[in-house]
Amino acid sequence: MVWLEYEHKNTFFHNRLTGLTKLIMTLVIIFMAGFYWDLRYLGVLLLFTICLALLSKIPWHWYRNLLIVVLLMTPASIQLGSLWMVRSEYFKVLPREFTSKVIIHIGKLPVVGETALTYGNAYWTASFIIKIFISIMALYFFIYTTSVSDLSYSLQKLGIPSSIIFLISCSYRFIPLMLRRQQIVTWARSLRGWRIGKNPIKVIYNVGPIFFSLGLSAYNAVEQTTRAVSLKGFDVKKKTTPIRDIKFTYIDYVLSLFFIAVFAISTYLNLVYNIGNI
Amino acid sequence: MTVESKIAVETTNLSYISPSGKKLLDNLNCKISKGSIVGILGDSKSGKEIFLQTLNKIIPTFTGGIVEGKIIVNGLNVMEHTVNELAREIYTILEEPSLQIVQTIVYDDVAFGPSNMQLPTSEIRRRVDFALESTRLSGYEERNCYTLSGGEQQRLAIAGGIAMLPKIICMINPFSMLDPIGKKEISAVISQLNKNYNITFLITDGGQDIEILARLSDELIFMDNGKIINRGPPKELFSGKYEIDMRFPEIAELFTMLDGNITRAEIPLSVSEAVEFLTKLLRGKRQKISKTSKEPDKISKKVDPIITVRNLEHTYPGPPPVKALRGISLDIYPGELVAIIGQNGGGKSTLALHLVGILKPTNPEAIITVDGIDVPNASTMEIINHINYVFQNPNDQIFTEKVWDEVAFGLKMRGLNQEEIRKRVQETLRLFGLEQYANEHTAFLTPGIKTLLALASVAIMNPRILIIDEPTGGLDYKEADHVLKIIQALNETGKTIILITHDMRIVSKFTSRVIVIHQGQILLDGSPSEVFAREDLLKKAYIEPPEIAQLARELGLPLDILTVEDMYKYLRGVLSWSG
Repeated sequence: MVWLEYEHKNTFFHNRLTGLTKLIMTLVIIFMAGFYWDLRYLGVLLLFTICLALLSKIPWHWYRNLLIVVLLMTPASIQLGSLWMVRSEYFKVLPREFTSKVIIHIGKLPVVGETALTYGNAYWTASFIIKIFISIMALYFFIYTTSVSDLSYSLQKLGIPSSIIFLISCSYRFIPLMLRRQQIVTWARSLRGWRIGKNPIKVIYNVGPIFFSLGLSAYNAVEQTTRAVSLKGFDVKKKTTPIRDIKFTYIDYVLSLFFIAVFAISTYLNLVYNIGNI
Repeated sequence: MTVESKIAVETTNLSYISPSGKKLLDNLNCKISKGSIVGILGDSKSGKEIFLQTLNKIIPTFTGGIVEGKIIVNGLNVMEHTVNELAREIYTILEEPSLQIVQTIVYDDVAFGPSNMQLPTSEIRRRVDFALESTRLSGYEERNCYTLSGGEQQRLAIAGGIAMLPKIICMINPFSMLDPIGKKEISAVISQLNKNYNITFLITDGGQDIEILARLSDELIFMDNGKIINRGPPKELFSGKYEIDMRFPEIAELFTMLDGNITRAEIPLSVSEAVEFLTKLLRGKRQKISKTSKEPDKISKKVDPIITVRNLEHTYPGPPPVKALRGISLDIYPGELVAIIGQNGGGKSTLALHLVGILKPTNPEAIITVDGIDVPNASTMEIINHINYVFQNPNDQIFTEKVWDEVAFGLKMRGLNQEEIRKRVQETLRLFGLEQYANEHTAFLTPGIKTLLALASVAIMNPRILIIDEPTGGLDYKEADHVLKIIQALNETGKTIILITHDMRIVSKFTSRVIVIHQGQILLDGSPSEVFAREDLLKKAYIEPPEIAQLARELGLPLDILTVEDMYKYLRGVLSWSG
């Protein structure tokens, strides 16, 4: 099953937009998710990103994996929120009487001092989790709709040096390769009676061999990829011909300008009027 | 006025010393003419792959070590250029195709080389279309490269080379993962490119596909221990006059066995040549002989099947969903040695992964019972006591540092005591001939030893049924024979063996029953002679009977003649030779 890699589909985003436009859209969404903390704005952004993901026909199991990532990160986010955001003066927009109201008192911790889970912390944590959700969804949208060659060509258009493009392209295809490899390796292990177990020491002991094998595969894959691209005449110092006739259409111009404008306006409003802050 | 050289490759005193200090090429002096097809044969230690990789400087660029001597490729001194500079002149298709894929989409991957050559987009498109058509990949343009089967990936790697139209193409064991018709098609592509574009081809093989190379090549080079032992036209080398430490093509083997009893001008290498010769010889002398091949009636079908599959379907989720299995039903009986064959991507491995419970049927009414276990509802631990699977690529399966630990792993997971583990590991290493490797690092083993290790590490768990996926893929003929003898020995101890293979010689020589899978359905199921008699249906599944079976059919001889030995016995009987 494909995860974290491009798949050809007959959608508007796959076929009508260039990689550059999609890159601009994705970066704008991620940046906006980065500086917005207000749940109302994040909610709108989340809705928009979900629409993008649905329209680009991202397979359902991608969402399942996203939920797993978010669920795994939630306890850490709550902990982070309760440790760092306990002081109500950190909040610039939300009323202090609301942000400082304690839900659970944790107590005094070394270095950090007094800690507690307050409404402010809970709000911050919820925003943090939604930010992760939006950012990953935006990345999903980009990865699923943009092929390696499309990405390379877009980066080339932006004037990014070929050596950096090569590194980005390699990692873009390397991650799914390793994910596939990890799946086969896990199957092979389970057929030899391998199981993770519940005892944490045993978990480390049992997972060790997988890392040995994956490490070896990763090393081989990097070496073989470098070999393969050299065999096909790739030279970081030279430009390449675009594989497809990728032309910027008016839709690309309109969408790119729209997203850049939205980004500029929202950044201005955020910096000057605190819109989107908490 | 300059005279263009007729030499594509010239090496003078070429030697290669690996980083560990081993001399892997030893003073090679070799000239290869432009526009020729040269087959380079030898076992896995012969240095044939190393030789090809020095020609475009992959060695020593990526491997280290020292290359001595001179290499001239199309007039260029290789040592003065980089690998990517040499790409316009010489392209190498490596053995492991998945690692040669550099893009995610088929079209983009084939176009990657021409795009680096800065050709106009229209020319790139023309070349990609040509390369895809030549390799039977038209229609796959937008497919994700990693969802292709092993054979399809092999064809993709070849297409990537073809699209660059270099002057020399080197291919390292290119036929090893292809289905029989795929092999034939790639041979046709090689001939066509050679004829139309005067491309020189250097192709290595470990003896598994020697029939193809013997027919395709203008010249064969035999290597051993980094040296060229013999070279010449195939007909001369297989004439029986030379001592060659290599399996002969089946037709040539038959005729050298018949030597002394017949008089011939030159050795036939193809079925058509053999038919022409034998038709005259057999005129009026045909007779029926008793069955010579292994037949399934050896296995009593009165006993209950050990594997029962009913109406098994599997659809990989899309969009669009891919129906990999479409209502498979079959019974396999205890002690059988069954081959599952079919075209690349036809559903063979998907079926096997269901039998060991890795994949679950996508239709709830499907039944998979293995040795009394309801597989879809059983735990992996329960299943692997009865059946296990040896993966096609041993690298997927080997994950410990030392050979001993790898073999012991399954038993350790079962919680056996140290003494019992030690005893059984020692016994298994001995059975598989791996004792000398016990303390070696698994990463540095040869492909043949890795295959044996993968097999040993599963067999030690003593399941009643073993599924072995492409056990001889990428091995030289000696290693392959060794692996097959061990598989046969396991079968003789009562184990039920299911082999997934593309090698029809293995099917005809070692198995008693063949199941042909085509597009997720069983197309044929019977003894090798029954199955190979249905050439019309086999073609649908990209299968071609072994050459001896084709010869028997062409001559109108009994269709249970499948191997060289069968044919030799028959001919001796008919012609009353004492031989």
